[in-house]
Amino acid sequence: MAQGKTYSIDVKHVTRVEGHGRIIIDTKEGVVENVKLSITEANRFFENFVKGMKPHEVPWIISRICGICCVGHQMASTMAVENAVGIEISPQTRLLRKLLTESQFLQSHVLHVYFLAVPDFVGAPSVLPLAQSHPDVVKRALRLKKLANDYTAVFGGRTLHPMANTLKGWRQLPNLDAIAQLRERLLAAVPDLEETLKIVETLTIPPYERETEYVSLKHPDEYALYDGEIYSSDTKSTLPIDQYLSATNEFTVPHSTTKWSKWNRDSYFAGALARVNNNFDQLRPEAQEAAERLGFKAPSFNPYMNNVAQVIEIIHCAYNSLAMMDEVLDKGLVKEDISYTPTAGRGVGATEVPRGILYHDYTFDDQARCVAGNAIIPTSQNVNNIEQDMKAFVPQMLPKMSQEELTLHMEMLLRAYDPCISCSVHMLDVEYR
Amino acid sequence: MFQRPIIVAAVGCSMACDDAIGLHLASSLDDGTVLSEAGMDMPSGILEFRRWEDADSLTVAQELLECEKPVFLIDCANMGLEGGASRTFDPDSLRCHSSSVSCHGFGMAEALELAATLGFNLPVRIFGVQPFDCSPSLEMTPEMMACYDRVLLECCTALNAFLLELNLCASQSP
Repeated sequence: MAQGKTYSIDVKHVTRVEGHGRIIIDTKEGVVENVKLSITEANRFFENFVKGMKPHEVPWIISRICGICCVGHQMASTMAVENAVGIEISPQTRLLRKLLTESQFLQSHVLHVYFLAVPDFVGAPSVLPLAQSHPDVVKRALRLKKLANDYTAVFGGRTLHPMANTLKGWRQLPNLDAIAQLRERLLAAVPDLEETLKIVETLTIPPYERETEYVSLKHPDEYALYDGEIYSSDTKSTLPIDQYLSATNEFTVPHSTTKWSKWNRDSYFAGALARVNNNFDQLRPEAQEAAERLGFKAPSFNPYMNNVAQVIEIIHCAYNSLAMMDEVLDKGLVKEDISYTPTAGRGVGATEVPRGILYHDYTFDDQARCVAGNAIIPTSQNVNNIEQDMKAFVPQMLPKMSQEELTLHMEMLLRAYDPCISCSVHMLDVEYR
Repeated sequence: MFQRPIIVAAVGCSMACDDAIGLHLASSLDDGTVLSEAGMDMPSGILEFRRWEDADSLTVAQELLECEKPVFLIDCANMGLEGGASRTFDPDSLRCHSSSVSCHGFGMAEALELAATLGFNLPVRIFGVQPFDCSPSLEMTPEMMACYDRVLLECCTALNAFLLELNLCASQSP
């Protein structure tokens, strides 16, 4: 019974997330008095680092903001700079960027699902005890992670912070033999993907739902990961990406150094769950079948199902990548002219990264030097929604859970969003006196 | 003697100044003359060199599981020593954090522990070098370059000691 439950939960360091977050819950005689997701990491100053940079330098510098979503930051910033200086890309470059993007989704989702989320579901405090109790699961995870890392290296030149992509195209094209070998390895990994589904089928997802607004990119022809327009499940309409400020509406709260966002409601959800909810029909058939096996029915209002949505996207990206690699191998790759004329202008880029939509916005002056930058990352869009979920779920959980169970479920909820807390802490501008 | 090869694996980032020390040392060792000058004559093939450049901890764990050979691992390591100082570690001496605050804390010790838990039970020796600076740069610091020959000799000594332990090396002192 909730009656009489009086305690304070203070998880000062939530483990198995990127960065540092704190969960505070106070209850008094069965009544929830306080629920907060506190982010206290120091600000990042990357938007200021790129001031004075030339257009082609911006993506290489700004993508250093994150070691997980470095590809996404490079894609969004490259797109923004190209829009600012009036560059259009070839179909070949778009295809290569889509491949690089999906390599990052595989890297990140495998990392999150297997190493950060699954331990919760089997009662392990981390992946190390999981390796003792479920060695085959962890071995499979390591194989898939390395495959995904190598995938990024083949197309981007490096596993982490790839440098091959630049404005207009590729500085050094991927090697076709390496792509062919990678394709064979990806094909050979299908049994590991099948086993992944079997594992996730056995997980018991906490049955808590709260309908919210789901925001993702939407593309008319494909499951939107690399590009698209901003789509809201509330309005069922899209917004051009250069109007992203209307969709994010950042604001601050006293207990968080990350900015919060909202659009048509008090908060919104960005990430795998939003994408699968909004674009389910555009998933590859293999991914739709996986969704059915995993009991996922779009739209799902259960935030814990974000982990399941990530697995659905692993299947989508694996099969879609095979198809795209076939296309590259069929057509071959041609060296393209990547010279450009730096000009003044402002441009916005938006791409999906594993945790949701990533926006970049840059302005260049008459000398083609960057004078303003803005990056809004998915976690700063999601923290508001996470706290709203906590506020909705704690009163439901309180009567039937012990303090320890409630703490675990709150940590699982935060982890389900796969937050990249370090990257979410930004300042738009810094004034030096 | 010389019954099986060992892996000499270099970990680090070639674009992060002294973080590349492992990559440079392994390249120098791969040039047989360095080992020969250090008195470590051995048939070719006893040492297999691998570059695990930019490998994250999980990839290091997977590489260990795949290699199935003893591993001499060379890496830049923040050990609280003077810049340019080196130290040789046994994996057992590393403290593993089973519940790091974030996955940023999942490092070499956890990678080795994970690989060991998953069945990698061959000897591993880690040769760590304290950096002066790991800022983005394609060049190591002048300070590290100045002591490079000494660090390389220390690395040869540590490698030789490891080979002796494994009963794989003819030389008693490099």
